[in-house]
Amino acid sequence: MVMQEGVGWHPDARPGPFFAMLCLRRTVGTSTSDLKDVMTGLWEIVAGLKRGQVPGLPAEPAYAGGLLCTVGYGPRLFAEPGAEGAGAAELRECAFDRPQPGGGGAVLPGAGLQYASDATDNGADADVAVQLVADQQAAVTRAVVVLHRHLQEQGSVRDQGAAVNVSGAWLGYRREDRRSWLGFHDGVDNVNGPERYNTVTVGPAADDRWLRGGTYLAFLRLELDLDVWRALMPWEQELLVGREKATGVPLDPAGHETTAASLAADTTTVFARANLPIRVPRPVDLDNPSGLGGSHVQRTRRHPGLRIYRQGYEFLDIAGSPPRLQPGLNFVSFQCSPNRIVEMLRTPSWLGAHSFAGARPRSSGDHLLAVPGLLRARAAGIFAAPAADEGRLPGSAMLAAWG
Amino acid sequence: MAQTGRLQAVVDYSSPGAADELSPPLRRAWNDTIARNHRDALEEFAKVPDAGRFVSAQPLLGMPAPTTWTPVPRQLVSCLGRSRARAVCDADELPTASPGQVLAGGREWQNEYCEYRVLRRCDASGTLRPKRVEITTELREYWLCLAVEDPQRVLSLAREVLCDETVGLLDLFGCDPSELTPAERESAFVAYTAGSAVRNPTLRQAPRGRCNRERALFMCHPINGLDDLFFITLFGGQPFARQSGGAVVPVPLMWIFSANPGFTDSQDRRQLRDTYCRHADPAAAGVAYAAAFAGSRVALADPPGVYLRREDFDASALRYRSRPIAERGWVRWRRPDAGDRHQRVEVGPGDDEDAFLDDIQICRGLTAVPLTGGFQLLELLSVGPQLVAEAPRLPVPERRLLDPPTSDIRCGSHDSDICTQLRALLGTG
Repeated sequence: MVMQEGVGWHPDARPGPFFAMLCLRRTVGTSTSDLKDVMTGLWEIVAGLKRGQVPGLPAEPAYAGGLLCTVGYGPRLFAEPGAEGAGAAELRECAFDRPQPGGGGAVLPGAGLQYASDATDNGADADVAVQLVADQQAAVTRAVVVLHRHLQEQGSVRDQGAAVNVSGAWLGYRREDRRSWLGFHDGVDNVNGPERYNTVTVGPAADDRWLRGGTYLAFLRLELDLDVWRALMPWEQELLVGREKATGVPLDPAGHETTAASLAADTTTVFARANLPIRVPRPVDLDNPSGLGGSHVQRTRRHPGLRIYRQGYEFLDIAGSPPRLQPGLNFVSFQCSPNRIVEMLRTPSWLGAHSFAGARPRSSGDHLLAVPGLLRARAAGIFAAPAADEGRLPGSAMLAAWG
Repeated sequence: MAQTGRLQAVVDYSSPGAADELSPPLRRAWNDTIARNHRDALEEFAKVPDAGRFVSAQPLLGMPAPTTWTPVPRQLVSCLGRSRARAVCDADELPTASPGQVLAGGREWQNEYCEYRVLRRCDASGTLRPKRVEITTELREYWLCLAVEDPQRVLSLAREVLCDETVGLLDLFGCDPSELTPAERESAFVAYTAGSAVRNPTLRQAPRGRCNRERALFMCHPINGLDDLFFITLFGGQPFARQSGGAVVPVPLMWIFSANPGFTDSQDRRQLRDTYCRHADPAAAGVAYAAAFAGSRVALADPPGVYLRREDFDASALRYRSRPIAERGWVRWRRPDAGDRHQRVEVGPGDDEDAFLDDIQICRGLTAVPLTGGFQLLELLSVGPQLVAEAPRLPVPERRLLDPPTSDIRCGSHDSDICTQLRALLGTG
């Protein structure tokens, strides 16, 4: 079995820097069989786009843009009566919660991460997720528009309205400088070695046969409040992240203070190969008086056996008059079990108590740092992404068997 | 409990979790036990130069290095899938061809330094239902040491831990140990309560007594032993490196398991591949390796033990009538009772309450499911020892270059020894 394209399941698999996520919901009365038909048609269009074939235009392979498409199925698909036979028990248990009717609320019961106060519908609460990545921005945006039109046209063909609606569509891109909107290097210590396969891949004995060799895709549209971030002193930002801002070198505790190792000669960031020995942070206990144990890099590495592979893409939305800038991150991760991301967001020693970072004081000299308003979710979803199926729609056999 | 965030200077070890006060002779015996287990583990590294250089048998002055993993039995899940693994783990009894050599039911597969037992009671209609789960990470070696040195102490402790005054010496030793020599006491306690160790020279023994068959008094799976904890720390605690782009850099953790020059025969290599596909071993080896690469030694922190930390438990997912069960006192941390680092947790209603374990809901996400056993609780928590890493002693330790392995380890693959054994034992395809 081969992993779907668009998933960095191996260090050599590096999908392009431009990103879109389309989330699709069935309308009332749309059966699984109907959904399979719609998705099969969508998949065929994507196959054309990958060859530079836009419907109604002559093929232009030179402008295909390296488009890759990943399809995942959400817990909503398996939540309807009669769906028990399709399995996906773990996926259903780990489904993200919905926002409160008036907006806001935790993304998972009891979790620190909250929805934005004006988010009343979680667009990633969907039956299907379609991730599009490409080497060129036009390849991604063109695919979004073409697929959106396909879904609308399905409705007119059926004479019953659309079978599937777009519940959410989001764009993003990867920064070449490998820094996030916070100004810090991001993804410094992702799962980059041979361990990535076992981190990402659903095993050959997994309960859901149709998912073996595939993965679970988590998607969170996270909005950043940079005013909150900028209000912090530089040393406070570094303590919260757990790395030096300029270089990316991880901090080490030194009593109540912190210190950082020196970069190798003639290097400027921790990404230089010569700095591999100092790239991984030394584990620091939550109780440490420096406060470093509560930093983001320490919290997210708390349980190394349950790591996830992150493949995130930044975004910048501009809306309103006068224009309001909304920077953020399309958080995308792949993992062999949905439990990994869910427990990371729920467990107090991970990100359950603090959605980004935070440490509690143990004595009067200890630092108390937390930034509860820094992150807000606009959408949150978890999807089962089956293995590739020799050119056919991934998961089509599952949809056919069930439908 | 000692302050964990600060440098510690201790000369010997207290009881696990500092849960018990030990007299000087008992404390000496316990420290001898620790040293012996370190020595036994070190013997496995005969072919490794300078083995043990980076792993101390005594407490060190240094910084606590958190070492945790999920106790969900990874091999079982990889080989069988989650639902079958859950059914196996939660089973009270399983068919076996070698009774007397395997632990009761699913306990035999709880091999990630955390064992549990589901206690069942009849409800008003006479239906047997899960009432609560007792989870333990207490080290077998500590209890065995107490049993040899002070049988009365072990009796009172067993009664206290199990909250059962009917436990007697017969349950623990199978006889009155007062007439036995220390060696005979050890044999009796192994046979009835502790079970045999990994490096047991004779046929494996599983405990016959009720305290570790019908209850979970302490960990008794041989894999969950102190000697194995030292083994994996010694295994990882070596300054391996690789050349990359002209620099000497750390190796991927997987390489230590698949290309370790100290374990070259094919049987060893196959076993190590299975070991990598557990949660406990790569986690402990990884901490020791990072320290060794930096030139620093690690040791078990004082107090030594394998711990359950409150902050590592997603207790808020457990609800009864939409309210967290902790509000009802249905999460009881013990050994010790105070602090935030424990060796025992009991989850579920008491015998004097009408509710049952499966009345509790797990609400991790949008869909709630009933709590029916211990496996689901393992998914909500992490365990691990507290290690201490001293400040690097050598700026550049003498690193040993590893060649890349010929292939990567892919966990759960159908040709792994452990999956073959599991499927044969359980009669599954």
